Amino acid sequence: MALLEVKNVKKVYSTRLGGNKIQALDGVTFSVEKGEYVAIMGESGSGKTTLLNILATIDRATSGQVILDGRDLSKIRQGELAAFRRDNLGFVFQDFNLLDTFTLQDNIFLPLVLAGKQVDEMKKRLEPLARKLGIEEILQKYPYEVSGGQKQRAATARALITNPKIILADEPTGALDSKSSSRLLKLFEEINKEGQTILMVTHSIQAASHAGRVMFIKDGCVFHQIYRGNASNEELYAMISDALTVMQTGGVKNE
Amino acid sequence: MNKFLLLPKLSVQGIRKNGATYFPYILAGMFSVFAFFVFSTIIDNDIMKTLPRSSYALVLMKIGQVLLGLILLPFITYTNSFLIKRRKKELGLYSVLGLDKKHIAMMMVWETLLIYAIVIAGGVLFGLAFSKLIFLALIRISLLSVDTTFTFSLEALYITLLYFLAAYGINLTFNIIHVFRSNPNDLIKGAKKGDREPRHLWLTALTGLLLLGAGYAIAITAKIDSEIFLNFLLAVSLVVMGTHQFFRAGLLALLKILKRSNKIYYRKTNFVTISGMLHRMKKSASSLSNICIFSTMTIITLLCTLSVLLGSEDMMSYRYPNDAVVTLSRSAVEDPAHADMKLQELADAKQVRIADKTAFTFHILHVEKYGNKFVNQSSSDNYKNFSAIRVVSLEDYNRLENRNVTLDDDEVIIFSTGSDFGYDYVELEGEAYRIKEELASSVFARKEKKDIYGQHFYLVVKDTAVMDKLSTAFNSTSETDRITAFRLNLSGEEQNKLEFINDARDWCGTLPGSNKVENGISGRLEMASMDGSLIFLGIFFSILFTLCLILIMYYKQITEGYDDRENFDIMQKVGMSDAEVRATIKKQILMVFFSPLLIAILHTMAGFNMISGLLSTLFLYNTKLIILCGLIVSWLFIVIYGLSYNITSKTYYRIVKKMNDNETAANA
Repeated sequence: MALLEVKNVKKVYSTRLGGNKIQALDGVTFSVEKGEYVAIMGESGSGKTTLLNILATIDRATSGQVILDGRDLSKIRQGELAAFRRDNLGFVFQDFNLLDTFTLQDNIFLPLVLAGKQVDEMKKRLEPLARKLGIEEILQKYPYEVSGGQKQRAATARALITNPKIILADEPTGALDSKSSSRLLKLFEEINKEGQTILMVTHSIQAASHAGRVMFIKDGCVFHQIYRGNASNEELYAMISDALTVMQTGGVKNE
Repeated sequence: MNKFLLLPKLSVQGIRKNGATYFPYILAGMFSVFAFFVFSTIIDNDIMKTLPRSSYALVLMKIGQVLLGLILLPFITYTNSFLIKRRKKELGLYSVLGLDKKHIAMMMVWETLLIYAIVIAGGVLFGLAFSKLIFLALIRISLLSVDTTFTFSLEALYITLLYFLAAYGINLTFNIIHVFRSNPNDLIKGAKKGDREPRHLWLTALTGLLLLGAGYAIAITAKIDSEIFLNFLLAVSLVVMGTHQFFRAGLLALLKILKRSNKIYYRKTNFVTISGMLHRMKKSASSLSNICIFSTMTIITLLCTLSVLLGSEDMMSYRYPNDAVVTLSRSAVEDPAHADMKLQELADAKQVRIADKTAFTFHILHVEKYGNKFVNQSSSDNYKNFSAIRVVSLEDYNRLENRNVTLDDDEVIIFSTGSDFGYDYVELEGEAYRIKEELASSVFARKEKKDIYGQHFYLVVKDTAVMDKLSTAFNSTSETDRITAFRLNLSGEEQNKLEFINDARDWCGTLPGSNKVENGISGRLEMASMDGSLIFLGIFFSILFTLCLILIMYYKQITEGYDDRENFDIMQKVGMSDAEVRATIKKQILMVFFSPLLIAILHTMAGFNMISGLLSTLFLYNTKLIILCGLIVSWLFIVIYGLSYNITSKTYYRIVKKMNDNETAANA
């Protein structure tokens, strides 16, 4: 059984007085297996952020089902959502979303503190993670004292420290320079190889070319998918770029 | 565009674009102007010169004005520190876009001028609109029976303009120094940076404690003498400074200790609170100390006001126990019985009944007191030892008290109006007398142990021969040193009583010697109106302080709410539930609000001796009453405090929450 199943999810926004209806998602269906690394690509307004928000339980679908590890997200009560997010999902945001009031270490600890974990355990979990992400030296610094790449690696550590079922990354390289970007993407690849499921929303072909599968969303639907197969990152890059060209020139749905 | 127009335009835009930040700042400024202007107007009003004993009240008001100035200044700079921190980013941007620091400074000058104008206009307008209303309402409340026309004074406006020009000048200087000392990159990052630790934490903590200790020591050991007002001011300033230092260092030290303890720090609600407070410890500390100081002032002012209100009967009956006191010197009364008859006659003529009469003759001895020794007054340098003894004959004493005591030539009965005399022997100009009895109470006067200032002694001796001997020994043989007193309480029509007292005064004037009639009835009225004016001041200041306090609390929560909402948003994304957000906010605010309350109550307790000392200069010696008032006021204050806590925490929560709602909406 798939780890994440998205079945015919629709999302309709209506303006306050109910006049105009905007169809943000129009029957999205896909599934993600455990250990997969999926990139979702699409233009602005294609509905990819809406999709991510629904997966993140920040927003709810109008119809359809999202099932994570056998649990229907729409059935979770409002009061449990926060705990659910904390225990099952890890987030990496474009703008890092680190708290300036905390050192990097405390930022990383935050979800564990919220979960009521003991300090010893937190430290035990952090140690290998910090080593892997190369942030051991800067754990005691504050976010405003370090670079963007370092911030994003700390944010990644925060996402990973709860051992989430799935990492949801929203344009993780969007605010990074190319060097930091490729370092982060390599990290994501490594993490994925160790078995972590990752779902990443991105604009960047370079970012997507590290994934195992790339999904294209257009006008609220899954438009196209590319599986890596045995292709190298460079080959995948070329395939994605071709697919985007086709999409932009108005290709046929689900060829 | 013309460069000269660009800068003012940018400043106007700056204010408009940052409405959320500027609004509370301007509000706080207007309120300060309002308070200062209204206060100055009242001081400068004619009524302050026509109120009975107004010179006393005027001095108090002037002290109050200075205090108000001292209090409002940190209040204004406090609100400014929030402002500049939030505006740094924008200023940094201007700097990056090519505005010189010189130009930024000019822009800030424009901005300050604009705010100054708005604040002054708003504050003075409100002041003009409401000061008369406030004034009349307070006159009503304090039962002041004065005809008054309330006028507005240019003088007050002038002082207000000057004061706030200085205050905003200080803010501007501070801001400009801030901008000049940082580079654009710092400015852009400015809003996020945490406060730096004060450099000498322990030194700060130590000076704080020393200042507090010194203030407390002065307050606790203060004697009721002519220096009490000076001591009061000194203690207040020490405690104010000490509180600031104490909170700055104490808070930081506490937070650091808490942070060091993993068990405490890494707990859900503490985690966010402690790190948040450390992040902005300077502002937290100054908020806390300001809240603490205003709380203390509110409590003390309310305490004094309520004590005077409830104790004023007591104060009057202490100062004027009798409706009339007729004191006749020796040559006027060859025969006391004759004077007595004459007074009765005058009373009858006005249909006034003498309900109660205490008549006796005493000799006054002017002495210096050293322990149980009394000697002749030698030099006015020894004024601190000056005291007075009233010598009464045993015959008068036995008659008045209905007793049958006997005394030997070298025996006396002593009564002190202040603290107990406490010796077995008294030495009068070298001659020892055995004290047969020290009276705990007597018909001569009310005993008030705390009345150090007005303490004197009554000495009952065997007979007039001893009285004469003592008078000679102490060179106290002048006309006014031998007095026959008639203390009268009257019943009848108020008007008639007053007429009788006047008649008695006229009659005394016809007698030889130096004679006096003290009019207790009008004396009490005069006191009542003095107390009234004090109550009036008390209520004004209580309201002012309470409003300042609420405004600071509210201000703090609003500005911090804007700071925090992003954080709470992130925390919710990471997995903090709504309930946890609420709990964290509650904890944070609880700690922020209730530590100053605690210290404020501590301050009040330390100041209690001084407060009761000050009240005793108004003849209020009833310590129990003052303690009772203290309890009532503390409870009342805790209720007010709790209410404003409730309101501000709701506002804070709304701000934090609204952002998240908007965020979700924006994501959609």
